[in-house]
Amino acid sequence: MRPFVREIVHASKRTPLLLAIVLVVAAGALVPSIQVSGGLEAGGVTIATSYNYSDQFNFVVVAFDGLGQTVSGTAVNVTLTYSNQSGSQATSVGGVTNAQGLWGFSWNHSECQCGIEVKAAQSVLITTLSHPSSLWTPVAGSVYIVPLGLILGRPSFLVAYSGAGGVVPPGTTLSYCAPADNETLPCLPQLLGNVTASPERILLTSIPTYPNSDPVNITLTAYGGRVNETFQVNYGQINQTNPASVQLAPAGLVLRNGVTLLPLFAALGGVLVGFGVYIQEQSEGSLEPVLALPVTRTQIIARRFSVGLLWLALSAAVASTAVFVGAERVASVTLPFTVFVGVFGMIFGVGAAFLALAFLVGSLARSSASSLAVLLVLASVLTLLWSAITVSASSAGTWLDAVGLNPAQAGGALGVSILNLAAGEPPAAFTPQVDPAIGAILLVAWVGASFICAWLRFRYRD
Amino acid sequence: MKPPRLRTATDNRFPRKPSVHDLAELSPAGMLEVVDISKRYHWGAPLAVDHVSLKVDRGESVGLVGLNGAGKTTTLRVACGVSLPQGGTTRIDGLDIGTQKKEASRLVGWVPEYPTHDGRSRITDLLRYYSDLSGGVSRERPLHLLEEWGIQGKARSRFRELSLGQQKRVAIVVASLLTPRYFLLDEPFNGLDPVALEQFRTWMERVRGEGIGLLLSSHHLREVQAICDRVVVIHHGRVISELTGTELDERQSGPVNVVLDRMDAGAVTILERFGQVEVKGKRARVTGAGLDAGAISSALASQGYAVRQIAQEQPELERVFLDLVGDAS
Repeated sequence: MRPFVREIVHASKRTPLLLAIVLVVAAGALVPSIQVSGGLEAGGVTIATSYNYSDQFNFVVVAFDGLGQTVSGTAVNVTLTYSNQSGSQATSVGGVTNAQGLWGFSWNHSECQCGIEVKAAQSVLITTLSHPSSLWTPVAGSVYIVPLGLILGRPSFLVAYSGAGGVVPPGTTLSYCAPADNETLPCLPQLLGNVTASPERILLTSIPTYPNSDPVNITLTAYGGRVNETFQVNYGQINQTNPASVQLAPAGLVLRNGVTLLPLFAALGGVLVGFGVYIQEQSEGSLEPVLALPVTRTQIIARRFSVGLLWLALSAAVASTAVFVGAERVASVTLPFTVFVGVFGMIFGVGAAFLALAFLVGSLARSSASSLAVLLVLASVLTLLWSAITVSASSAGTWLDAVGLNPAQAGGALGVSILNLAAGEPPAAFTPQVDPAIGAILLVAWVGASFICAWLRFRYRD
Repeated sequence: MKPPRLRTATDNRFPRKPSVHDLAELSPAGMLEVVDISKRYHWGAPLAVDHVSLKVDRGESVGLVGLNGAGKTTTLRVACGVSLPQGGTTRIDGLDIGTQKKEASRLVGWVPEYPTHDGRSRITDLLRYYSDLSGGVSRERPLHLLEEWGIQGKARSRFRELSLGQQKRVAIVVASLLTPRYFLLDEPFNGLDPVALEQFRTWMERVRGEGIGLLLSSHHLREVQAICDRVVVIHHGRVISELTGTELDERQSGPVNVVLDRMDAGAVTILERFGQVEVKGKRARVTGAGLDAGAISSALASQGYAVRQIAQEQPELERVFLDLVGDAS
């Protein structure tokens, strides 16, 4: 135990003040993401969500009064900026003048195979379309329930939307259902409103008083659109006595922007720790005096890898706590503990994968500069190879997706599946691309294979 | 005389776990053996060390000499387990450093030519780190060793702040933490001032006296000559010669200059039995291998020649070395 403790002390001199700073900054970067993505922007404009359906990109732009602020008289112009093989283009698709309203539009551009930036004039959010799995997957002319946020202190939902050129039939009814005192009683839907015109958007802010102040599960249901089509969104426990605690946006949505950042920092952290505990010493030669001591090479590399994992765990704990506290303090969102575990697991998992990768590259390259060069060459080769396979320049950088290790992609196999390690979280809307179990196996395989290769190289070759 | 202690039943019931030093004591082979090691640094490169074998007995001092790039440093690095050979192994008191690394490394201390300890660490932290990693080192020992080498004042300094001589002292302190049976010293005299040089010499003499084996590589052939019992000459990765003290003396037997009361044909005949003779008046210069001035003097005296003066020139190890390397090339 004592040698291991001493290794930790020794490694701490090299590593990780920098890493701690990086991860805290990463956690700090989450705060504005939480504010915007959760739809809690006060008196602003936010693009609540976006999706891709049959080559049509659909957006909902919401201008709403939030947290006592107003947007009266605000004119919002929305511009789509997109680029493809023929170059960049920008087009204005409409405007919002309604001070408190909702506004949605769809845009059909089947040729664009690349990212689209959507910017509001009051640019509170710039989002990039890169993945079809977004909050909801609408069907033309159907009814959807989209959580928007707190409006005047009440939960708000967008419940009807025309979709991609479709029509929501007038007369569609919207209702909600909350169990009575006795939860064993059947839930009786209660009418909230009707869609009277199409296209139509209805902002629901008047959730009726609950039967009592106990936390209850509430189910909002929209009946309409196509025959027998029903959408249900279950928001879990809502405590009527404290509306601020209402979890309007599912945790997965709140953290959506966060998870696109955190894995990047986790990957960077893994590589940094790898440099600190192994590569740097290997290249400086300060590992040689250790090799002359009565320790085996296996012990040396295993201890150092363990120290690296320990540092990652510590950093992941700090970052997860920051996310937790940030969500609570800034966005008044109380995340379930399972999300904490999910974020921790994601940072730790991605970090460990890249730590093992750094060990492997360090074992092969033997110097910091060459390690960096090998990593760059490896990335370049894979990028070129992948672009050749996919015959698409725009997807050239997605090779990390192919190997399940793209930390920048929230929908990537690794990140999402790790987030889903905790059963039931995040919500179903955040559908993982890969089964969580497979994701976990992928991760372990990555870490294990990389480390074993690094160990074999270090054990049997100088 | 104190009678030997008899083994009791208690001894068998709770036997103390034998230490590596106990095992080494039991080992019949009290020596460091480098056995047929070969080392190539990367694919396609020539062998840096080509089937090198040598041994160092306890209390013996062996010099490893050779030109730059001959393979001296590689041999030492492989011998102490820092570098992995493609073939061969090193046995230290019978313990194989390849398969019994932990045990074998306790018996050997390595002092590199340019110590590469973590430059940012303070000396005390470094020594604590190495002590804890090695195990079995008391907290006081590093401090005692620093005092012994006169660098206790640098204990709080960072390694990179020290001069090369001080860094070498630290390297010896690190190598001495576990009281090894053998020291492998790579160019120990490089970069040392005269005081440090004398300190190193004294230290080497002392540890030899304590029964510790020394294997040292050096370009300072005079130092090697003064310190070592044997010299191993390595060239292009191969051992081309191994000279014991006697052989070294023989190799170093320079020409003998003789002054006789008379230099006639009889005297020349006697001298020619020992080597080639150049005569100049009453003086003669005898050159050849294994010349012994005493034997020449006795031979002349037995035939009635009065030896006025006899002296043997002493070529240094450099010449022997250059001759050997020249032959090998």
